Amino acid sequence: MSRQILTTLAAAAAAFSFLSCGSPVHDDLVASLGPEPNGEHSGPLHRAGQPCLTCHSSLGPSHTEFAVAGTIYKSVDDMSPMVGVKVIFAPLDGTDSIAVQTNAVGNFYITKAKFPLAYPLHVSVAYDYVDSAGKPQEYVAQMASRIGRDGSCADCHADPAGQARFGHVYITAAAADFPK
Amino acid sequence: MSPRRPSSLLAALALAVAAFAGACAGTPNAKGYMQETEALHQPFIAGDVAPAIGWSCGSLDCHGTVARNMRIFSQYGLRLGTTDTPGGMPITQSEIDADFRSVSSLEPEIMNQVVADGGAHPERLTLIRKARGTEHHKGGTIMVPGDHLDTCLTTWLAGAPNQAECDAASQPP
Ligand code: HEC
Ligand code: HEC
Repeated sequence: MSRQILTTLAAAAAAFSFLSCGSPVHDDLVASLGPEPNGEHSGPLHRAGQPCLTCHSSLGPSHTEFAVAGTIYKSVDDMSPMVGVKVIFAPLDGTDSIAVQTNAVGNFYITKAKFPLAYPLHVSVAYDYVDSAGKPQEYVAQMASRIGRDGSCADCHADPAGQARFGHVYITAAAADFPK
Repeated sequence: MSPRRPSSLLAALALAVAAFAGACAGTPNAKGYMQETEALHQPFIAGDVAPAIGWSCGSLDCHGTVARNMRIFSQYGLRLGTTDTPGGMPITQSEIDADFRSVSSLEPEIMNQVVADGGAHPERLTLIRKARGTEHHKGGTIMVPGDHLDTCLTTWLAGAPNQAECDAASQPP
């Protein structure tokens, strides 16, 4: 093979690797989520219910990498965001669990830099409230199965439920459990 | 590149093909599976091996997805029935059979050999090496010799699955 052809090939390869350094599959996934649904600014309150790690991973487009993130809703039928829910992650290897609270739209996230746990993980959600008799209560919903490696709740928890999807994450099956 | 005599190339190819065919020797049954591997089908069902694999390997983000090989159907993961959902009804017979096909079609010749040897040296199978994490596995180390899942799988490969261990490997907390 002549040196000229080799040089041309090398140049082509370099050009190709440069062009394809963003994965087209990933780009499509990001694009499929569309613009900010409510026209909000990017930040902790945006894109509730979406698979956050699709954009918050090493592939971007966000510069902030998350380890886990998602959105917690009230019940099966009531899509009100749950504020102040504790989302608790417990690894199988027995190391200490860690928890994070949901914000005003029900979103939570932990950045990769602040997440020491290894998969697989158990996850549960806990909500402290005061019942109608004035007594403090805690409602806990635990996911029976475990998360193998995906930190985005919404990859498995999206509506409608189907063969490979559970439906949104909710804290209680019956919204009437909580006072208005 | 220096020109080669085609005859020596052909001879080398023929040899390679013969060697490869030898590696596949075994008795395929009517379904086209190796006879001995098919012999693991009933024990797979009777020993509750599928729920154990489903629980440990089949979450929707691992082998419970159509995007990855060794596709596993299970109660808490991917469902085969179009109206079934993860977390819903227990594993179905069709799902168990599909799981058996997924697992036994990975390396039928080697599995055949392990079965012929009464389950000795199961680590010849990529299935076992990956689950033990002794070979690169994106899902990490899922089992270690002596634990519920490892005992379930290795006793199954020996033809007599320890159902209690398989059940213990498929329990929600
Ligand atoms: C479609 C892509 C996409 C999705 C999905 C997405 N984000 Fe973002 N997010 C961005 C971009 C882009 C930014 C702003 C640029 C940056 O962070 O580099 C951002 C910024 C943020 C920030 C501010 C980060 C910082 O360090 O300033 C937070 C917090 C955040 N998003 C949380 C979430 C949560 C929680 C979810 C899921 C409920 C989510 N995002 C889903 C793309 C996305
Ligand atoms: C790999 C897929 C997957 C991921 C990722 C996932 N879940 Fe789940 N989740 C399920 C499945 C399947 C169920 C239903 C069966 C069960 O409880 O295990 C479920 C159930 C739950 C339940 C119990 C619902 C009930 O009926 O009581 C909670 C709570 C929950 N998940 C929270 C979360 C949170 C929070 C996250 C993100 C940190 C998350 N899940 C991520 C698959 C997943």
